[in-house]
Amino acid sequence: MTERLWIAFVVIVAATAVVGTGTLALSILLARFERRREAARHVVRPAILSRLHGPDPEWETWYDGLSRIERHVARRTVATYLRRLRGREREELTRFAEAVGIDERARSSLSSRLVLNRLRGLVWLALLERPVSRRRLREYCTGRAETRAGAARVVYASDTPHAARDGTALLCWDGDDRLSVFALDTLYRLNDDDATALLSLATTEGTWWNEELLVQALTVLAHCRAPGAETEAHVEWIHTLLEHDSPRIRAGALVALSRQSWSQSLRRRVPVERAVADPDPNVRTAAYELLGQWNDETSTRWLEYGVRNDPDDRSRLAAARRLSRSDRALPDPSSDPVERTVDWVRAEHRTPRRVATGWS
Amino acid sequence: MVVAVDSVAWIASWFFLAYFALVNGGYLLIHLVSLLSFERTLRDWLLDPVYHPHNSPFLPGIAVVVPAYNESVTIVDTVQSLLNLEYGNYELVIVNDGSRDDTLERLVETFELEPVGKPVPVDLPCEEVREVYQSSRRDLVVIDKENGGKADALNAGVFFTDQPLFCAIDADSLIERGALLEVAQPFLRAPDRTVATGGTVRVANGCSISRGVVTRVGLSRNALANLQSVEYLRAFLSGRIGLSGVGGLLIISGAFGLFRTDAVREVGGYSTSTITEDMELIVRLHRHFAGTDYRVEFVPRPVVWTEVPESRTVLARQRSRWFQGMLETLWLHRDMIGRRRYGVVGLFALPFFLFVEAVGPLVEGIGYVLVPLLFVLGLLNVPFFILFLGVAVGIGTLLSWLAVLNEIVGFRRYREPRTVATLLGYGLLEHVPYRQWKAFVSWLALVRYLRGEHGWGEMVRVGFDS
Repeated sequence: MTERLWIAFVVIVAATAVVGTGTLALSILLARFERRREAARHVVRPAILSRLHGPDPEWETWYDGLSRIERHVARRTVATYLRRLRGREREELTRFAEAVGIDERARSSLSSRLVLNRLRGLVWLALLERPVSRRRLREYCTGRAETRAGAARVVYASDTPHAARDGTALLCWDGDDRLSVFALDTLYRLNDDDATALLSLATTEGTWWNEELLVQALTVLAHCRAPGAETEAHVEWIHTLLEHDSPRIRAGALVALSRQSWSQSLRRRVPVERAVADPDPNVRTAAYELLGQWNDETSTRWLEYGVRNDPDDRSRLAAARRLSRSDRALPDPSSDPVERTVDWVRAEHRTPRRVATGWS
Repeated sequence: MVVAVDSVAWIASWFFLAYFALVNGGYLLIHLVSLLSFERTLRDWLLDPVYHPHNSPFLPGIAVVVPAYNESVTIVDTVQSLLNLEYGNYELVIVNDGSRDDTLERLVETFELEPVGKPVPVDLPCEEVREVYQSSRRDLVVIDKENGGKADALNAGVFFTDQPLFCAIDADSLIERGALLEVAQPFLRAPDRTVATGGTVRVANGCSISRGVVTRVGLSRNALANLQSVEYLRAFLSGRIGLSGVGGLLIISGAFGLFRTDAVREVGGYSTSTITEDMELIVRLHRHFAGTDYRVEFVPRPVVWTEVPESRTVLARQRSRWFQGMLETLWLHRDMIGRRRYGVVGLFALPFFLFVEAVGPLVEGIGYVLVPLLFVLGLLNVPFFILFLGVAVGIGTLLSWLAVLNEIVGFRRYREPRTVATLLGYGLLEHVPYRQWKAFVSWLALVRYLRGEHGWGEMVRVGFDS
């Protein structure tokens, strides 16, 4: 018994001593590494900048002459600059990546068994705007949501033919996964100027998407243009969502439609009366946002109706703010709550910005 | 008779040893989970994204709500620093909670605020609002209201704002510029599921601060502050990473927490009748959302810097308040403890808090007195006593040192090896004599709680270094 007690004590002390010593040793190693990295940074960064503006950078020769830590700093520096620079300097940096074999390594890392390596490869390929074949992306990058998002970014960055279609298909892969904010941003970039790819996919497959992805798709559509003669056919799908069971989807559909406010025929198809009478205040608020975009006589009348009759303080406030922002006169108050709302909107010095779709 | 006393002494000693093993074993488990969870966040950190989140049109609006009571000395610097946060879409809502000094006047004058002059058009469940001031140039609002306490002031901001998220921040804390975007990441990943997130609270004493920004991280000349630096690493960093990893986070510090506004409104806002409103709110959110797919998450990378007490009297007062607040919250939500309906929170987190955080220090307190006494009286043998020290002090030190290791591997705020060595030293001192002193404070807090003495007096602050 006594022996066991001693053994237990020794184990505890030994484990503690190992962790303490290891921590201290690691801190010394890391501090030394950071000092060396800092010193390397002072050498490598100016060297890259001077070569960027020089006549013949001779990247390969220069890189070969660097120490291991200097090469590490050089790669990190180039990755940072690729995020910031455009034009000739950026082209020169991509030539550096090519000369030292970064792009080749990135391509081959797509088939790595480690997800981290695959993701690192995708990050480099997106930064370098290097196209990767559809077949290769489908073969190695469709297994996980993160790799699909990375692959879609590569498709967007390399601007290949059908980039919007391929990238959108990768992101909305099986309709089950909600998108990360990075994936959401990529979906937006792919469809920003022309949302045909997202609208087409949603029209055919949106019915099977889960609610979260549907709300995200609508959020993206609220920021994208859908030009072309086929707009109405595509947008038809959004109209059907105005009758969806989920108030978040109904609100999202209204906000998505607000981006297409230029079309009079689309305006006529929005069931405004039903939207401003929706039992959910968030849907009514979204309807007021949509009406505020229209800024015509019909919308003004409905917004005035909202200010006078909406039972929810916040929705009523949203209607009043939309009217005020459109330089329309606020209606005469018919009750105390309406009076408070109208007085407040008339008196406030700055209207807060609001981003609500998919959030509240 | 002697045999009976001997047996009782041995049973009692084994009980204390087992309890110490339970407490430290529980913490060790949490630390191991924190190491596993940390690996997941490290990958996100290593992969610098290929886009600029600040340019994304999808960032949700955030209201930064700052309750202020007699903060005249620091309020202008605090607001200046908060106006420079790196986040695309946020408004600042300062709630002047009936300050008796010139907090309001300083705000109005410095930021050229103008009174709205009309009653707020939505119901605010708080003490009477005297006036709302707005800036016409910045997204800055000041709500001036009658004094009602911190929770009441927070409620004013939470129910006033239109933003879908709000971030509660203490007026005397310094938030890092990029922290808001980082703490919002779980909301960006899963907007429908995330209910609340919190960042790391670190000790500002000893750091160099310029214009509301921590420019050099260091340790204080005050030993008590440094003990708290290690304690914050162990409990507020590693501990919360671990609890968050198992889905049982019960505390998001009032100094830095981000919440879904409608979720907090749904549960009625902050409770004005509890001592530690931050913990009570999180437990209430767990109760409310139990059975649904929701998340309360800790994000270790974003940091808020806070000044910790440097005198034992003030620290004892603070810890007494925290302990009483925890007892009160556990009592208030006692029907959740051990209930499957509340998942990990009911089956693990609340029992952990009850037996380890609440009862633990009390049992420890008796153990620290009784076991050495029995040893001195010759009723315990040397190996047992040595093992008791190993479990009580050794494992405790191991936990603190693991937290320091976690810090230098994952976060690197303390970079100098000398500082790390000092932290390791304080990691040992945290378990002799600081932990024993805290056990004593916990007993006093229990007595005060049972007597119904909930007042906690003013917190004396010496101000940030410049």
